[in-house]
Amino acid sequence: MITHRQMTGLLLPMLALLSLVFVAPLLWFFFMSLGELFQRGLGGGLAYAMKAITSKAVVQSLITTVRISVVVTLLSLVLAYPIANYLTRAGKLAFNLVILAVIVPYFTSVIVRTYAWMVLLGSNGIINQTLQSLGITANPLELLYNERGILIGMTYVLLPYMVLTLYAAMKTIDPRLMQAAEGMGASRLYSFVHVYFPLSLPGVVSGGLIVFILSLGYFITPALMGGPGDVMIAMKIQHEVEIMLNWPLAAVLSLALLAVTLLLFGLYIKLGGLKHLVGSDLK
Amino acid sequence: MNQTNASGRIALTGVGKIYGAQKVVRDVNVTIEEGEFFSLLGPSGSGKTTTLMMIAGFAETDEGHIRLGDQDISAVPPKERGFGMVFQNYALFPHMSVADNVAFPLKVRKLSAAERRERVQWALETVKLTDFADRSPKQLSGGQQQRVALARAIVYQPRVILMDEPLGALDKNLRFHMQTEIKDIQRRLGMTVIYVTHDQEEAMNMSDRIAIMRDGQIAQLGTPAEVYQHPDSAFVGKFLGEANLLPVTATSATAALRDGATFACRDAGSGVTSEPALLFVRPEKLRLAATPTGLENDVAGRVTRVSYLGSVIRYGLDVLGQEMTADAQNLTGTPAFAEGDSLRVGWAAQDCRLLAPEGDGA
Repeated sequence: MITHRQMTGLLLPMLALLSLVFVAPLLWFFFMSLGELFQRGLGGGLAYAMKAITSKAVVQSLITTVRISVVVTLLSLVLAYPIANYLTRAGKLAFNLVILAVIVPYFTSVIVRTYAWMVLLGSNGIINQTLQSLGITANPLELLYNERGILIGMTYVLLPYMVLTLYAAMKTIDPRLMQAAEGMGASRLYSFVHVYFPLSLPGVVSGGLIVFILSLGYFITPALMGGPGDVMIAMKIQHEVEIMLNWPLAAVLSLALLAVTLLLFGLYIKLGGLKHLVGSDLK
Repeated sequence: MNQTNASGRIALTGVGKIYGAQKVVRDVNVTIEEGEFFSLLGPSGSGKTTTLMMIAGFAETDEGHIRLGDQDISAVPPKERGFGMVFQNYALFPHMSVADNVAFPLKVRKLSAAERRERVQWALETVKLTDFADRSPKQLSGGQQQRVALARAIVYQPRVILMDEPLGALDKNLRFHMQTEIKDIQRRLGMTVIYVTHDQEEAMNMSDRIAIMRDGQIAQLGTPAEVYQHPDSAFVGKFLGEANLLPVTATSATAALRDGATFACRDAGSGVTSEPALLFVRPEKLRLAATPTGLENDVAGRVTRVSYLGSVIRYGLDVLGQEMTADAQNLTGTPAFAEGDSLRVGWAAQDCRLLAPEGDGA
């Protein structure tokens, strides 16, 4: 018999690795950059940080980040809701096919998937060629290198999280409740609004939070599919580190992003979101 | 939607249900009268729930017709049938309070808030749950949840209430208590109730009539006394309680032989004449005595087992090489027998019937 304590012990190598390659560099980065910042004294350092955060470029990038994250969250919710609902009702074969379609992107590199979208969405891409040859549009739609491109790419990448979270929540809804509602004279719409949707809310909130959290720090997709004006906070940080070599500013922004993320993640855990995501039984 | 003013009479003619290549319900014909408490009783897979679901409208009626009063409702969607429904696991809405659950059908019907309050109050009073209106269903015991489900089914005063094994999840004592209460409410409100159960005692305790179902068909239909005392088949005889089924050779519809003994029975109308048959008699109809009993049927037997059950003493008997069971009322003065005693076993002709032997060995 393996005891609980021994099982916990098995986590140690992983914890050690994470500490070494993730936590330690992060702390070192904060220590070095903030140390540089506070060489000007505590007051001077804070003043610099405030000024940096309220600078036009940073504020602009924060607004862009939140706006994109909110829209991506809403888009993935609208797209994932019917898919998740279908999964709760699907037969075995259909279930496996749909879940495969949802999850396979997980196994593929984000960069590969993003380039694939670029091929599809470009001015001479498949979508624009099809639309033009069908005579639906005269000129190519601008689907890439702008906010539209970011929204399409990120919604696609983050959709599985939303689908799986919603599915886990919806699976706990007793289908007989809808039958009962219908038996009592309710229309499909009425039962959905008053019974099904309220019962699926835990999944909606958890899924929304996880997608929002992941969107806040997203880098690759917006960097490749966005335009020069669409700078999300992660891109801004990268820009400061690699091009401007302004590590103190990058550290301040990173800390702010980390704090917001941890705060939302705490809320997410409190709402039982992790259980939804790993699909454990909630009953 | 037509509920409160509609008739409570439901007629099924030739009703059938097909799943794939299988007919799970076949040729069900029955008219359930206004105000009747009607049970569909049968083992699992007998088609009783499917039949109820067709009446409710959740399952399509593949064959035949279902009428409510003079209206054919076979193709009417469930929400327009206006029946009350109590589900197996209650199907209470977990995100609503007890009062909101009960108010749900009224909200759907767009009743005013004042009228809703009044009706919810009435329904909760009827099921004795007034103090629990603001609780969440999760805070209630199984029996209380059952009452909420009942209140929600009666709140809009439908003429017909359908119940699918509503007491299945409750323990035995509570079941009996709830049976009495459901029956009381039904009688008081004069509703038609169609009740599905696999528990024969429950069906007998509550019903005006019982349809015993087997393999998708009604095996027998009648009052509890009729189906218990005069089963048409060995299956019904066994399903409704302890039954002695003695293999005999029938010489007519009312007479039979076995090992030189002759038996006289009441005509079962089952068409049994000169062939192997089963002689059916309930254990409590057997009279045991040290000397001949003087009844129409009287054979020698030997006690093989004695079980003291309290109100009755159950004897295992060896009669003509066959096992039989006799239940003797535990009255003062009833002769008691011990294992190994030889005795006479007698029963009246009116208490036994000759039934066809079962093909499938059931």
